[in-house]
Amino acid sequence: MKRSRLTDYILLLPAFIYVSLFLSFTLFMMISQSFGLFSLLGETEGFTLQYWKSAMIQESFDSFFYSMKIGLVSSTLVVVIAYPIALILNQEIRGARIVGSLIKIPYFINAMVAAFLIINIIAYHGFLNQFLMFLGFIDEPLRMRNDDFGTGVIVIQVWKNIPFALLIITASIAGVSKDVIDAAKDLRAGPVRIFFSIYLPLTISGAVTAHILLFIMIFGDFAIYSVAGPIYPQSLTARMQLIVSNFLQWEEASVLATVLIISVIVVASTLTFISKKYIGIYEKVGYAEIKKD
Amino acid sequence: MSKLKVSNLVKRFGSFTAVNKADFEVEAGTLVTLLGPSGCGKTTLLRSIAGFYCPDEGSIFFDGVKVDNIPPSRRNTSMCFQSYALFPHMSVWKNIAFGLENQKVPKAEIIERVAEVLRVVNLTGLEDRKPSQLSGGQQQRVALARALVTRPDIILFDEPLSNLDAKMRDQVRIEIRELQLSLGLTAVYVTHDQAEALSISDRIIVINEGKIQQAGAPQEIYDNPVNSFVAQFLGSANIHEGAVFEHMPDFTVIDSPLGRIRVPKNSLSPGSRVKFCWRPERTEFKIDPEHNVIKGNVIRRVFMGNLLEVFFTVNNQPVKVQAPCWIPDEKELSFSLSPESFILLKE
Repeated sequence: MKRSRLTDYILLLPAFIYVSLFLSFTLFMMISQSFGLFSLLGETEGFTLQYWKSAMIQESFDSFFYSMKIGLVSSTLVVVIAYPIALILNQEIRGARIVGSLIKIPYFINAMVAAFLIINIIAYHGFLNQFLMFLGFIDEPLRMRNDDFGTGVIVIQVWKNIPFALLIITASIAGVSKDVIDAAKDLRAGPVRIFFSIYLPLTISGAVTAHILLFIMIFGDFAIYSVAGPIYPQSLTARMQLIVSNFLQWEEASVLATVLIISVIVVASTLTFISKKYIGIYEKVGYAEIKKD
Repeated sequence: MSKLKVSNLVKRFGSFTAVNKADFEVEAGTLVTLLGPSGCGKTTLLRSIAGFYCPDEGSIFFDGVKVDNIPPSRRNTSMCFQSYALFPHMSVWKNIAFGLENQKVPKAEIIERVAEVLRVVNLTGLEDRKPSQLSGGQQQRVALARALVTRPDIILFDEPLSNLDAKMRDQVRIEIRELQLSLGLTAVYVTHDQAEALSISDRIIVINEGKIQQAGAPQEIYDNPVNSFVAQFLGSANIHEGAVFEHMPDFTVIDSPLGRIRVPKNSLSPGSRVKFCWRPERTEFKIDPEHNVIKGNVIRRVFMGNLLEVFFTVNNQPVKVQAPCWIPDEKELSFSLSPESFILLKE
């Protein structure tokens, strides 16, 4: 029986309401507030760029670059570490299943608890510093927690997020047929060629999806920054919280939130573009292109 | 092309023996089929030849050279997979050129050889298509082209037609055979389809439960199966047990559920238990009194277009025969079987 168009619309309605109410509407409100409209305090003064001007001060730029740095470095490190682990765990190795399950444990640990766990290792008098001093690599402890660069935050983010990346990347790698890999071996491809010509193009979209989701989570981090982050600069979200709680400046916080959203879109688009370029090397090169050379 | 020798090969997975002392040769330029039911070990054997599995015992030789420790990438075999295993992100051209690029063949030669093999498999013009844009038959031909273009010593087919519809299967099967003959390729072909095996092979190796049951030319195996498994797996057969009654100058008489019948002369002593079979198509309905005449009750007739399949019981023993469509529609019928129709089985 053919379904009527009206039935189609009714079936789409729940998803449409969700998108309109919780996404489009809230985004619209947030962007509007950054321009002085629909004030949460009830006094709407009309369209103005005043909050954008007042938000664009050195502290905000420092927070932006700090969050961007932590977001990009941590998410890239997570993917770079998780990808080979997922690739190895996908092979027929005895015990790979158990190790694959154990490695996902950090995912079930709350971010705040994870931060406290890792701080035990990276603290000034923590295990890592003691161990490095014992080995004679350093004379005095390194400052890895609350350091200016954010080393502590990066270590915690990586530890906490590798399982999440593994979930996505492992599924992506498991989707590559074993026959396809065997066919490549049969056609005299070595491990390096198989990795770059088969595995990577077929799984890069999974890796990039993981990278984008990780970046979104880490770029917007508040909890781990507040335990292990530097005193200055603050993360972008911590600065938003400060602006609202100390100064009740919802409009300025909306400016930073808008910047945060736009940054995520730009980074996600860039990563997608790069991955598509890579896949394109294999997808588009056909007979016509080869003949042209 | 190379001569292949598999010598006493054993492959185990834990306590399960997938291949048990497989021993056979494939002459250069011939096509040999490994035929058997699912799980009999034929694909394991093929993958061992390709180098994907390392034998637990025994060895594999290409032209007398032991290849046990040579990885698949250096064996110069090419495999056509059941799933085709085409690289989904690459064009037809890229898929076929992949092996040549790995062999560091100069670009100009790659272009020439890919064009040539595309002509051979009749895919010229589809170079820039993706595997997902091709039909099953076209995908199979790309897999074939990809395997052929590297000019392997031995080409291996792992149930290459099982994902095609019946019509396409016949067409691609003929194409594979013609290519194998015209290019003089040494080929090992795995299938569970007896009709496919009979029509494509120079030799058939029948496998069951990891063991080779019989090897030989298609007609030779069909006409002289050594045991009830081969008789039933390769074609259709009625199998009975009986005892040797007496030896006559030209034949032996056996007491069987079909009655006292004459079978080809053998050396078994009178009273010995014997297992024998006969093919349904050997039944004669124009009764020859010189032959064994058997009377049975018709249970069911199945119209097959050009003939009838008739299911009888003879002395409570089920029997299947092929009959011409003109036989009378009666509940009790007689047919005759020449002594040569009966084949004595070893087990």
